[in-house]
Amino acid sequence: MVRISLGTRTMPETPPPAGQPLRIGWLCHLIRAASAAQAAWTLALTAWWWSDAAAIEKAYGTFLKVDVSGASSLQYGIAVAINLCSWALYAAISFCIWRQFGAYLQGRVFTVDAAIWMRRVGTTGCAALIFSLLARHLVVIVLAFHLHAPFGALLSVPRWAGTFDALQALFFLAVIGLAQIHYAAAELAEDHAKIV
Amino acid sequence: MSMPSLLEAFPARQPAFRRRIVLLSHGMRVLAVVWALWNLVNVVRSLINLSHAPSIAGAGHHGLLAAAIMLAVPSWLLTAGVAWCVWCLFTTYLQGHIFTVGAALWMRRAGALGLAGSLASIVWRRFQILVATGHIHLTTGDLLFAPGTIVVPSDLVRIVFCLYVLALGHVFKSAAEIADDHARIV
Repeated sequence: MVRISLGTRTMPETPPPAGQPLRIGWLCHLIRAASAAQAAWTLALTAWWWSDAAAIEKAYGTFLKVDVSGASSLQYGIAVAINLCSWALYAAISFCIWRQFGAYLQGRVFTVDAAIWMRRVGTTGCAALIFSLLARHLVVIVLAFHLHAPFGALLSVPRWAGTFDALQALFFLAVIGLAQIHYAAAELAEDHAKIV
Repeated sequence: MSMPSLLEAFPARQPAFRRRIVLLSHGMRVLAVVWALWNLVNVVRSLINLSHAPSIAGAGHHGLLAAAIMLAVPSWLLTAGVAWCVWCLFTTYLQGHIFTVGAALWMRRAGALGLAGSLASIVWRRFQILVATGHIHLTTGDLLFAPGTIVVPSDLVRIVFCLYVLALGHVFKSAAEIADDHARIV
């Protein structure tokens, strides 16, 4: 057994036995509940926002200087569908978090499958972010379709990316990096356990 | 068994494992430094903008600028603290100590400092808005409870990210401790 030094004490460095329940099950339940609540809340916000056409017209007119008052119900329908796709990707992150902490609840912390779910949190997050960047422009193009404005002009209406997007990108990349390291280490530990 | 001794058990897989870990860990450390520097640039830019605000430049209330610096510096130091914790976390990984209490503690520190930094940045932004809109005499009550948007969506996302890292740190620490106990018994 190799011992490593941790300040004033030493401890053996060993992956935990899979299947052993954790002492912080409440935290895992809390995170799972929070991720589910986040997905439900975002869906409720999306439904609330897209149910008020007058508010949408006002917001697009004020902030983006685009008059979408003449948009048809078909245009609104497509815009809602695009937003629901974006929501579905963000909900998929919640699902991955749910599964990741579900694995932890079963005592599978330093395992390949837990690392895979963590990696999925990161990759789904990156996909959701990229889609949401595209969706912003797509929604403007769809809602302003009847104006016959030049495509290039509509594309430049919303900002492509801001600090908020950069923060998300950094976080999801960090999660992928962390998951990759845990995956590589867990794979090696599991191979070793099979041989032993 | 530790990662170094696992690698001894699998000498053939050592180069591949090291390649995967080393590149990622260095990448993450660089990302942490870039993030801290990017935040520093934002803070300096905000301070320069604030120094041109009529309530400071026009009315000559340089005490407000001093207060701004006193708020901005600790706020950025918390951000730098997160970057430092991320740096140390991946340094621990580079040493092959992945499933350890030490690594989990660095992760938890990053989450806790990030959470404190998120709250500090909310107060810092309030200060900038109030000064830019002509408030000269600011109290703690003004900074925390004056009418207007206090928390914006990006704050919530930042807080959620920090809570996720904090929770991961807790879970990993708990699991590493169980492994520790298990290894002692075995």
